[in-house]
Amino acid sequence: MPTSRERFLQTCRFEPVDRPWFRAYAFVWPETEIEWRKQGYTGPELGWHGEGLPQRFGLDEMLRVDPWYGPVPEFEYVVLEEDDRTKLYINHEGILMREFKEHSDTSVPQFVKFPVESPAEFEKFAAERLALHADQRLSAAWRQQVAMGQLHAVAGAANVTAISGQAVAAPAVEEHPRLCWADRWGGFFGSLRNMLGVQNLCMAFHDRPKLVERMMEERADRIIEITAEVMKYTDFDVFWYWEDMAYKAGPLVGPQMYRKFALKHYRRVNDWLRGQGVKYIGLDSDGDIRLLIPIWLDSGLNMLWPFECQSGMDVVKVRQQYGRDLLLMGGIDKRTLAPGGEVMRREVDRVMPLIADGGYFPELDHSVPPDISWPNFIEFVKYMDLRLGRG
Amino acid sequence: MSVLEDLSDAILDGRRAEVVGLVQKALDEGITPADIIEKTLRPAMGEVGDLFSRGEFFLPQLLLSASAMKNATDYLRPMLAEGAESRQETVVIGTVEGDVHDIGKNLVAATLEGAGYRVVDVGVDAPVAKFVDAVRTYDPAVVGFSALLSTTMIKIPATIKALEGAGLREGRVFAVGGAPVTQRNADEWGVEVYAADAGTAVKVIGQALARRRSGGDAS
Repeated sequence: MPTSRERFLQTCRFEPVDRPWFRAYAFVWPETEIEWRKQGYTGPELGWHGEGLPQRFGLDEMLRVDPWYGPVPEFEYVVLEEDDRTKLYINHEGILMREFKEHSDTSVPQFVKFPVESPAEFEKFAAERLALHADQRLSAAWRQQVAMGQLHAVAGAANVTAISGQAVAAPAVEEHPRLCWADRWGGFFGSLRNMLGVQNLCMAFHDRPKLVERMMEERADRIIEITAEVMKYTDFDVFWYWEDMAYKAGPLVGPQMYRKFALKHYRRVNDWLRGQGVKYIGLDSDGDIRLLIPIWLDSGLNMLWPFECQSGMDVVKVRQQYGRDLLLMGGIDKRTLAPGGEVMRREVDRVMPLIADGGYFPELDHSVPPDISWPNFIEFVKYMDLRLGRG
Repeated sequence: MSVLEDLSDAILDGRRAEVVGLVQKALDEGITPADIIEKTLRPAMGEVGDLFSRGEFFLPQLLLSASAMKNATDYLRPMLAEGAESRQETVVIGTVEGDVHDIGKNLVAATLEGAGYRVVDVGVDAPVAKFVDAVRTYDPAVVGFSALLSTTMIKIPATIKALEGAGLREGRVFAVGGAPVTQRNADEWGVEVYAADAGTAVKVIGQALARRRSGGDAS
């Protein structure tokens, strides 16, 4: 019987699978977990990545092998001001932000100041915090998890803490597909945005193109260097960039300008990855990314996630437009799970032709807010199992 | 090319360093500050909004053009005839209570300011009382509400209701925007303007004000 990894790769190759690969991955809001526990969920803490859900429902899983691609050492967390509701603080990426004390995970902060404002500040930031620092990035805990085939539960931290509980023996056969996801710092817009802020970055494309060019070049250098280090310890099946460079009205920067600046850097990294045997190169961006897809395809990228429906993304239409040039993951409108029932079933039915076509991993398009009840989430998973012939 | 055409192009191109010189040139030719604003700068910003809505301009161009506009209007403001400045429409704008996100709101404020509006920003996480106080104090022609989250969006109708209750609704254009907000929400809440993005905000607000001035329904 094929392993989950083999099914994943068969799907990537548009080959028939005995059972479609389905992981029901979703960012679960903390408020959602509070509601779910009132509604009958009694399992372990879910956390932002919905830990334990795949095991609970017998679903597929992806093993993440990525280290932190961002600032190392991380910035010290410093609270500068607080009142009874909000706090103003410097986060681990050096961004000064104000956010609510309660429900901070699910509200968007007010970004007050970013860590880079000049070429000199960038060079200092890059030298001090973006360099390889292998011992810190690929810490002992990270190396342990990778060697033991444990699921990587933590994203965004320079120092991965060792997973407590029973360690599994190193698998004789690779059960799960492995993903190296350069979350938040592996890309050519998102990471620059982390350093400059969106308004300064947008102005910089015009006012300081040399700075933008230099920053993108540095990111390409570092993505290759860090990923090469990862490959000393493990191979992986998929590499993902992180950009988050669009919203409901389209990309934050125009495609012509973005192509001019970023295409060559994507190409360089993608060519290197392919040279290392990585066949599947994906990218994570929320929002309406339609105008950017041609750039990414031209660069050699071949997978996208999550196809946010609220922003107008439609996996069925994207498949019609790009055919088998693009692997698709996501695209099931999470908003249909709130009403559930027939509304949810119609949405799931809508994407089923893509399952038959191949090259598609059905999944919710983004996070799971608290208006999606636990019974409705169960209903969704069960209906997916039914339609995918897994149940 | 006339100086006003040149000035309009400079706004569209975001040529911030050149606009003041072009404005001065227009003044030297006898064109009044009010005419420069009404007949060139605001239409240029309107065109920027159109280009943004059509997907030909994106955020960088919007910011550059708004910045160029601001340079021009800041230069002209002291020269406006007494009384003209008081006729400048005021916009009160804020992110509703429970939401500290402000990128979209700031962009709209910047483009409105660039278009010559007087913008009073009540900030983020603005409770109902803050909106009520600002409307009482500044008597704006327009009140803009922003929300990023579906969970905070519900504060918009609550704030509108409070303004109605305080007798501060009549004669004003209310505008709403933000990621979860739709035209349908605007219709349900009885507001005149739904701004899908920062680029269209200036245009649709201007259109609503024009309809109100001509005695029609602003929505």
